Amino acid sequence: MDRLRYHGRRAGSALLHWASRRLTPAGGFVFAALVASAVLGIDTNESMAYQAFTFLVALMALSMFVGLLFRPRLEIRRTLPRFGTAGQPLPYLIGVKELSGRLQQDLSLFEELDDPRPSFAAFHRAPRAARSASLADRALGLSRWNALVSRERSASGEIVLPALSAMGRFEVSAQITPARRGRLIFRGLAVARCDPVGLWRALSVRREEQSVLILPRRYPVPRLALPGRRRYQQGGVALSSAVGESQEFVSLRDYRAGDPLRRVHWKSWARTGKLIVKEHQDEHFVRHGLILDTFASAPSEIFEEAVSVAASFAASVLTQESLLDLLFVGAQSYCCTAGRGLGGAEKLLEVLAGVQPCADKNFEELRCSVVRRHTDLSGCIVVLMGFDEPRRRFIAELRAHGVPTIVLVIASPAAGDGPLPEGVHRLTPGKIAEGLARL
Amino acid sequence: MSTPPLLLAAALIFWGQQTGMLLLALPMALILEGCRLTAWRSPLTPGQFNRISDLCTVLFAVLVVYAYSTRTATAAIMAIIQWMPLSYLPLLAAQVYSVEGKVDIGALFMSRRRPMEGPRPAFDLVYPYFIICVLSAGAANVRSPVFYGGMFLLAIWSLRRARPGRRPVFSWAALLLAAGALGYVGQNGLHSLQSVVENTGGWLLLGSGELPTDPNSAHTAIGKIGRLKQSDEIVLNVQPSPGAPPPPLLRQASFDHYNAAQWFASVADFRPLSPLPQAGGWAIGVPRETNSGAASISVYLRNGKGILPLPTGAVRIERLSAGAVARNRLGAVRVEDGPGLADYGVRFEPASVFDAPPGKIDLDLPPAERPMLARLARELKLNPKRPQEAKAAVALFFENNFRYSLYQEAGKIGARPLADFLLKTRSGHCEYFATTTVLLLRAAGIPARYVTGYSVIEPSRMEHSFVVRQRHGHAWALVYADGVWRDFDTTPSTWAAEEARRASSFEPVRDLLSWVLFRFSRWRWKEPEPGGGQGRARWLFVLALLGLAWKLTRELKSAGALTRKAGGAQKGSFPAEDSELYVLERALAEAELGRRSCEALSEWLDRLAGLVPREAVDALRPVVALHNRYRFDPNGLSGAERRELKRAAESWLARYPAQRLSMRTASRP
Repeated sequence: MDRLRYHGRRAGSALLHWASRRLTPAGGFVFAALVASAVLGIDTNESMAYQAFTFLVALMALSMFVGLLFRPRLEIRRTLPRFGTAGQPLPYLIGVKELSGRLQQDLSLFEELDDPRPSFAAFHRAPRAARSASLADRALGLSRWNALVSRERSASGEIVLPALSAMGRFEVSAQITPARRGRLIFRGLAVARCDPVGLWRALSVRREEQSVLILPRRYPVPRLALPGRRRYQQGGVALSSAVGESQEFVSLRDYRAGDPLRRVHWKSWARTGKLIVKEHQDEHFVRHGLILDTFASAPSEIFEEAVSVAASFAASVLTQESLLDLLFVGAQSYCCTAGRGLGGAEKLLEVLAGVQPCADKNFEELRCSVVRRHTDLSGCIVVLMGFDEPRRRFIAELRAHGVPTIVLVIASPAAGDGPLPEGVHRLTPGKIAEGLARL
Repeated sequence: MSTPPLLLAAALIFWGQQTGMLLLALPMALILEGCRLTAWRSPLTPGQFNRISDLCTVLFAVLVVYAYSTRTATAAIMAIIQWMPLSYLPLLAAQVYSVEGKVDIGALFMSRRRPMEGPRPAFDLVYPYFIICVLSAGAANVRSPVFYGGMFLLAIWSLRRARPGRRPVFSWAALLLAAGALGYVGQNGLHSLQSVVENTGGWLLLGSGELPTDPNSAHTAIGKIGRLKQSDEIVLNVQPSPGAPPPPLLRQASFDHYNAAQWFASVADFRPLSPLPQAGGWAIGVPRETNSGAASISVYLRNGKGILPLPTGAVRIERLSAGAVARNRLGAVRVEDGPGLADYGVRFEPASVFDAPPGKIDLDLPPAERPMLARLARELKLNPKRPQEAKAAVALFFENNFRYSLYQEAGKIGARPLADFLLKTRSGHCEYFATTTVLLLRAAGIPARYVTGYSVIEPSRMEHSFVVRQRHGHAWALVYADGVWRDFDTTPSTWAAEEARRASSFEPVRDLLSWVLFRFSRWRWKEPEPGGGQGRARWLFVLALLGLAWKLTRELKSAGALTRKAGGAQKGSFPAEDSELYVLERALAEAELGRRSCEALSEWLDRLAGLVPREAVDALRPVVALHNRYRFDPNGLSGAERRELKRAAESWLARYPAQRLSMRTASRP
């Protein structure tokens, strides 16, 4: 039954897509009138509506026939920015050059993007409509389909071109709103022209494959006084993620709790009677961890929200004075560091743009990866997709190691994780911005 | 308004002109186009749009009931379509005079009336209304070129704005004119095509329960092998006059020429019957006997047309309101413009058959069978001068040597099925018996015709009448003897039992439904009594009231559902009265930790935080949050959440017994 539902929606969706490209608004009305007149005029003895039907059929057929004569010769090239953001309009330029040597008018362009329709497996796996939904919704799976399609379909409308003189060239600005993070692939461009009555668009599709990286959606994050203090970073900033040591002496300073004994400047101690330590350049600085829970069986709204929350922190927490490690598990355990000359926020955002759910590993993998680095970390921001027992233990372990943590749990109110301990904040999908603002 | 000025007015005037409702169309046009003359607009909420849409729906429903009660099904549909601009005028007027200028989606789809996130979609209904006006004008079915011309001009007018700005007017006009010309040619072709289809393959469209309506020919199953399948569907209801038996056979049509398993009426010219002075009366002939039989027959007519089943010797038809009733020379009576259910009376005199006298064709034999039939007639010693004796001999011949069967075995019936039936198989259904009887008598020089109709044999389970099923369809002979045409049925009397043996086990259920439909149809198509014209209006009023009551019930149910949603499973006088938080609250109240009058739950929790251990209050917060959703969230709680609220409240009470909390409170300094 679900398969029938899926194929029905798939075919319906294809038909709607085709009609939205081919029919102008006026053409849509004419087509609707054509169908209505066909129904009402089924018996030519009982109604004259069949006369309206024959006229409308003739009108549509002629409009389509005129469209067959449309053979544009154009050179089209997009100029795309390097990045975009999911859910945010992405402006770009399209350069068009006329090659046929004739004046071209009433042209428009449509972007050819990847098919946003979900696979049957994704459709079947998606949560069913609630019992409170309408009967049609439950029977046809409308909201389920729409939710999956809207997650994939980037909004791109008709790009109207001005009149193009013979062999002329110009640039038009276009805009697309990417639906999701990751790589947005532009497959081609369809050049369209209406028939003289304005009902039917003739299309000429050409391949023009380009892509742009879409960064995760980000939310405003309040200025957080991140917990933790400076930690010794072996090798300093430049080598903090590589091997080797930096021993460049900068100055002397008073001993502070936590300073290793081997840094004590014995001569100064002897001279002044108090503990003085040597300070080396870039040895001690704040290094935060941004830990992302990726353990989901399939892409979901909660997973996307978790990535967005992580991206929001990655984009805003970075300072000139600290490092930020992004830790997550994908095909393997990853740790990407940014800050203090090791790359900016965009580096982490690029990584986050490509994060996929990890279905074949368990939370233990992430736990090991983080605990292994706990001595380097001044504090952690942990983004979780639930707060079950393994995750509770993980947070308790981090805190036991003296790593202060801010924990953000992305979960629906019905998740049933029970009361959350101090320092653990629940963020509800759809109300993430409000939740972050309350931090 | 999004249409060009006066376009909608023109469409409405066109509609009024075509449907004869011009006086109605003019004020409607004035109402809609009047919005251009005034800047007054009313702010309408989605709820108000919904009410106006409901009004239109009720108006439409009343029109549907009225149309269906006063017209045949097809005419009712066409009338409803014609009235559509009228029934949806309030909604369009609301749109054009509203500040919003568009109709909220909830007014169009009941399922979209619930609150939704983000802006609510709204639609401009002006162009759909324009389309409705034009197509409704077509439903008036005024057969003149005015419709095409008017529709074409309105289409051009409406499409003027859609023309792409830079395209030349010439190409726009040329394309529209070409479409107009093509469409005009096409509409002629389409109409002709329907006529061709109806004339050639129309019989394919006949449903299983339809009475045959072709008085010109009768296809028989002679020569076909396998089992003849018949339907149990009731097609006729016959009520004999009190104390009298029903007419055993009801004739629909007679045929005089046989060829290749098919009977034809050689001359099928229908002549109108003269109506009698009393309403619904039609004279077939002049009654000769004073003691004539009478019966009432009810039969469904497709689109008010059909061939009436009548007893042989019918002299007059009564209580049949129809536009025209005509009869051919072979006795078939055709009705046109009749009701959906013809419920008529018939008077008949078996000795007074007004069919055309026998002619040469009534002795005609198929050339291939002529020698065999002549030989058999000789063997039976059929004498044309003694037709009664000949009939008796033929009846005896069939009774003694033949048996009834709906099954024809493959290989036994060959290229000459009649010869095979008479000489070899000697088993078959009524068409074999009737055909061979006619041909045998003709071979003996006695004029005979083939008759199709129904046999009246089954009393109704529901009332004092007889029902006739499709499987009671029968064929017999009409023999001219002693100057009179008389029915002559040689099919063995076991045929009815044989047919009934194969009846479906669901037959009683189906009969009950048929009876209900029959009673309703009889009421619906009943002619008003003289002076009792109020009856139908009263019924209409009752129906309208029922419709309104149904609508009101739905509204109340819908409001109730919303209230339930707002408060979850409402059991008492306010939503969420059954929430376990109240149990918990009462338990705490007993320990003097209860909520004060007018104290909000959050305030109560804050106060409790100073009185009981912090973890107890923290554990209580999620319970209160769930309760608040149960109490105030329009979407309520899901089943799992409702169970969670119960579980959480109970586990909190188990973990923090009120008495223990009370003791801790008391022990605080």
